[in-house]
Amino acid sequence: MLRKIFLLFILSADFLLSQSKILIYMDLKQTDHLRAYGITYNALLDGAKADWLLNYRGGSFMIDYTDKIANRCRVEGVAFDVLSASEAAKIYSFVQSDDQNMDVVRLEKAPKIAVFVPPGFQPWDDAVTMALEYAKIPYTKIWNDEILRGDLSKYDWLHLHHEDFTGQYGKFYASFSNAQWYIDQQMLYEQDAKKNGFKKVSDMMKAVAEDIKNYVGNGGFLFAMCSATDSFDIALAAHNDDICDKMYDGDPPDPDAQAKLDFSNTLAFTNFKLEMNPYVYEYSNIDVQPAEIGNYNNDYFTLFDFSAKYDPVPTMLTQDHVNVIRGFMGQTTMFHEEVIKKNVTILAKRNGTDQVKYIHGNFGRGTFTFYGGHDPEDYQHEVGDPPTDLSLHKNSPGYRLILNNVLFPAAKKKKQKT
Amino acid sequence: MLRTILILFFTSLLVFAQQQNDFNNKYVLAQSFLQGGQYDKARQIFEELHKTQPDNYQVFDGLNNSYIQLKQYGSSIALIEDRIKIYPQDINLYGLLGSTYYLRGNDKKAFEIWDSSVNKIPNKDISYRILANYAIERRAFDKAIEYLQKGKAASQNKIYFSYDLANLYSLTMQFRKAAEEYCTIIAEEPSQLTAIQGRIFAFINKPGALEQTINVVKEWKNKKIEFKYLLAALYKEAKDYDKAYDLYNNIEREQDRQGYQLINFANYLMGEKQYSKAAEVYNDVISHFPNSPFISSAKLGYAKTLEASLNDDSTLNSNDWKPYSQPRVIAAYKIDKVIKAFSDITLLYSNSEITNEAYYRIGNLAFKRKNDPAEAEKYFNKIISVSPSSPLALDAYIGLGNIFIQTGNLDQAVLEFSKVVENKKSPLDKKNQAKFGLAKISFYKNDFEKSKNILAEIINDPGDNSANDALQLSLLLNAAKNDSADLANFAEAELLAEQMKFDKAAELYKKISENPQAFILSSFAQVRDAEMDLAMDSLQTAVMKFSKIADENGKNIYADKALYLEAKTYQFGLKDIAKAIEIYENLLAKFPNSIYLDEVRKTIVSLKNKLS
Repeated sequence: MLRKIFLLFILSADFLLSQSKILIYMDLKQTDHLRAYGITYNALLDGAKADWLLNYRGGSFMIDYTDKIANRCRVEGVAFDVLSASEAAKIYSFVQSDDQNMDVVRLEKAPKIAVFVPPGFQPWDDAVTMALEYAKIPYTKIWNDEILRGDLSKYDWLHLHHEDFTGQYGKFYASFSNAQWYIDQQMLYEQDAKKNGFKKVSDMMKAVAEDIKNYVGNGGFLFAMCSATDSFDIALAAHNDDICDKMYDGDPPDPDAQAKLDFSNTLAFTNFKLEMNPYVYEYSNIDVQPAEIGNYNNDYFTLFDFSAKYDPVPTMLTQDHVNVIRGFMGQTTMFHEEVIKKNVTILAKRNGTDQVKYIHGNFGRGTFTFYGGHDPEDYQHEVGDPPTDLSLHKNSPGYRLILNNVLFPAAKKKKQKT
Repeated sequence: MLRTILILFFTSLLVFAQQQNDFNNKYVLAQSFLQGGQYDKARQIFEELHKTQPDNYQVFDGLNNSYIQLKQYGSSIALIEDRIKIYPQDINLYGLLGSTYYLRGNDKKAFEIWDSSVNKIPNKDISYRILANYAIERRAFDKAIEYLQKGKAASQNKIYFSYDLANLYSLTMQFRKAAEEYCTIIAEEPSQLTAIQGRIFAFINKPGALEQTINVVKEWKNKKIEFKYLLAALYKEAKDYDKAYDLYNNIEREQDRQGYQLINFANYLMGEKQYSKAAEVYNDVISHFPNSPFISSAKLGYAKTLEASLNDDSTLNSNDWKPYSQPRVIAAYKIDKVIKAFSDITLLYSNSEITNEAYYRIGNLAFKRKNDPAEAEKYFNKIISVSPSSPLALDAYIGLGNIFIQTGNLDQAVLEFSKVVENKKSPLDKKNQAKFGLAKISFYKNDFEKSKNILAEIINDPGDNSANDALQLSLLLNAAKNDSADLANFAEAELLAEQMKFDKAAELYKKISENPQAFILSSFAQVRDAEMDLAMDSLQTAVMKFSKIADENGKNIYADKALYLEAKTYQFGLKDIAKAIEIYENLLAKFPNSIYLDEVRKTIVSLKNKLS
C-alpha cells in the first residue's frame, strides 16, 4: 500500500512539474527582445512546443519549463518568469477570453530558413541576416543556382534583401560603375547567367523571380526588405519586356517598356511607372523619395491594430512592445499606397500620408510580406557603412518586425472564425 | 559678263552656306532627340541627312545609334554594309556590324564577321586590338581574349597586349593566366614591378587568386630579382612568413641592402603581431649586419618585439586571472633577454628619450616580472636624475611610489607621489594615478578622512582610469566609517596583500570575517581571505570558501563575486571547464542583477564552444 502511495506521489509530482511554464514576456520589461525569438525558435528546433500569446505583454511566448531553456534564457540575457501550472492556466484563460483582443497561437515546428544572398563580398549588410545571427537562429544561404535548380522547396521561409531582380545591378551605375565591387558583382552575375544558360542577367533574374513566385504559390513564406520588394515585382511585371539599358544588359531597353509591363503577374504592386533613366538610382514610382519624407526627425510609422482572434496572421506580424516606430531609409524606403494592390494588407504606414512601410498578402497557398527600408537601427545606411551592432539594440522594435516573420510560419493553422 | 559670273558665284556661295547651316541645325536637333531618348524622331532626321551626305561619318553614326536604340537591327546592318562597300578597309565598320549581329542575338554571325575582317586589313595587331574592344563592349570576354592573344602573337610590342590580357584574365577570375601575363611583363620591363604588384594586389583577395598567383610567380622566381620581391610580398599576404623570410634573406645576399629589406620585413611582422618571428628577423640583422646604418632601429625593434612576446607568453601570465598573485619568475631567462635588449639600446642612444623609455621598461620588468624592487628603483632613479623634465620621469616617480609601498617605506612613497601631484606639467591622468597612491597610503596609515578627501578629487573626473579604483575604495571607507577598529585591521591586511605577504594578510582578513559586528567589512574580508588562498595556490581551499560565501545568499553582499571567483578557479586553476560552466550558470540563476552577468554570459558561450 505504502509503495503504491509513494508511486502515485512520484507520478503526480512529475506531472505537476511538467506543467510549469516559462513565460518570456515581450513588453518593455524584456531585457533582450531579439534573442527571445531565438530562444523560442531553438526550443521548437529541439522539439518543444511554444505558444505565442498575441497582444499579451507585447506578444509573449509560453514554453514548457525545462532547465535547458531556462539556462539558455539566462545565458542569452532574455528575461522570463517561471510559472506554476495554475498561474499559466490563468494567463491562458485571460488571453482567450472574449473581451480581450488577444489569442493563443500554437507554434509547432521551427521553419527551415533560407536567405537569398550572393556569394562573396557585399558593400552593405542585411538586417535579416544580422537579426538571425544575433538571435542565434540557424539559416542557409542560397543564391540563383539553388533557386533555378529547384532547391526552394527544401525551405519553409525565404528572405530577400538588397537584391535587384530587374538585372540592373541596383542601378548603382552612375555612382559606382568604376568601383571594384560593382565590376566584380557584374562579372559574377554575368558568369552565373552564362552558367545557367541565360544570355542576359536580367533574363536569369526574371526566371529566379518567377521561381520564387511559384514557391510562394506552392505554400512558401516570402519576406522581402529594401530593394528586393519593388525590384521583385517589377521583374515579374517585366516578364515579357526589356526594361534594362545597355550598360546593364548590353542592348537598349524596349522603347515601349512601360506599356509592355504585365501587372497581372505581380504580387503586391500595380500600375507603377518605371524610372527608365539608367543614371537615376530608382526603379519606379513605387518607392517613396527622401524629399517626400520631409523632416527626418518626424519619420515614424504606426503599426495597424488587428483583431487577434479574427486576423491572427497580421496580428502575429505586428506584435511589438510599441506601436509607433522610428522610420529608416533604404534603396526602397516605403511604398506609395496608390500602387499597392487592393488585396494586399497594409500592416504599417506613416500616419496621415500615403507612405506605407509594411505590407502582407497571400498568393496561392503561400504568403509574402514586404518591409521597406534597409536597417531598422541605422536611419540612412550608406554603401560601405559598417554593420549595426545589434547587441546595442536588443530591444529594437523595428528588428522585432523582422523576427515576427521568422516565427510566423511556425504557427499551427487555425480555422478562420469568419 | 564678268559681273554676271561674280553675281552667280556669290549667290551660289550664299545658297551653299545656307544649305550647310540648315544641315548643321538638323544634325544638332537629331543629336538632341537621340540624347533625350526620342529615338524615332532622331532616326527620321538622321535618315534625311544621310541621304544628303552619305559619306558623313557623324550622320552615319547617329543614324546607326538610332536604329540600335529602336532595336531596328536589320536597318543597322543594311546601313553598315552600305558603308563597308565604300570603305572596305575600315575595321571599325566590321566591329560595328558584328556588334549589331551580337545585339540581335546572333553571336555566331558576329564572330564570323569579326574573324573574317582581320584578313582584310594589313595592320593586324591594331585590328585585333580594335576587335577586342568591340568584343569587350559586348562583354564577350572570351572572344576579346582570343583577339588579344592573336594580336600579341602578331605584334612586336607584346607588353601592351599582356597588360590587357592580364586585366581581362583577372576580371574573368582566371588568376593563373593573369599572373603569367604579369610575369611576362616584369621579365621584359622589370621597372613595371611596382605597378604590376599594385594590379595583382587589387584582385589577390578573391577566392583562389593568391594561391594561383604564388604558384605562377614561384616558377619565375630565379629569372629576375624582381620576381623574388613580388613572391615575398605574396607570401606575406598568405601569412607564410618563413618563406617570405627566406626570400628577403636571399634578396639581401644578392643585393647587399645592409639589412634594409629585413628591417622592413621585421617591422611588417611586428605590425602583424608576429612578435617571435619579428624578433628573429631583427636579431638576424643585428648579428649579420653589425655595421648597417639601420642597426639602431633593428635593436629597438628587437627589444620591443621581445617585450611584446613576453606579454603574450601564457606561462608567464598564467596567474593573471587571480585578484592577487606572486609574479611568476619561472622563466627568468626570458625576462633577462628582454632586459639585455633594452640595455643595448641605452648604449646606443645616451641621454635620449629612447634611453629613458628603455630604462623605464627595464624598471617595470624588474619590478613586475622579476619581483626585484631594488633593481627597478635603480632604473627609475636613472631617468629622474638624467632627464628630470622628461614625461617618463613622472612615470618613474609613480613607479618608485609603488615600489616604496611594497617595501613598506610609506613616507618615501608619499614623497614620490607628491612630486607628480605638485608638478604643474603633470597631465591629469598621471596626477590622478599619483593621488590614488596617496589615498591608499592615507588609508594604510588609518587617516581615513584624508584618504576620502583625496579619493573625492579623483572621482570628480569619472572618465579617468583611476576613478573606478577610487570609487571602490571610497565606498568601502564610507560603508565602514563607524567601525574604525575593523577598518584599521582591514587597511593593514590590504597593505600586507599589496606587499604580497598573503599569509599574514589572510590571518587578518579571517579575524575580521569572524567578527559579526563588522557587517560589510566582514563580508568583504571573507572574499579577500579566499583570494589570499588563491594567491598562495591553495585552490581547493579557496573554492571551498567561495562556495560557502555564495551559499550564504543574502548574508554576504559579495556572494556573486565569490561565485564568480569560484567559477574562475575551476576554469583557470583546476581546469574543470564543465564545472566552471555549471557555476557560471548558477551565478546567472542566483544573481540576475550581478555586475558580472555580461562577462559571465560571454564566458559561458565561449567555453561551450570550446567544449563542442
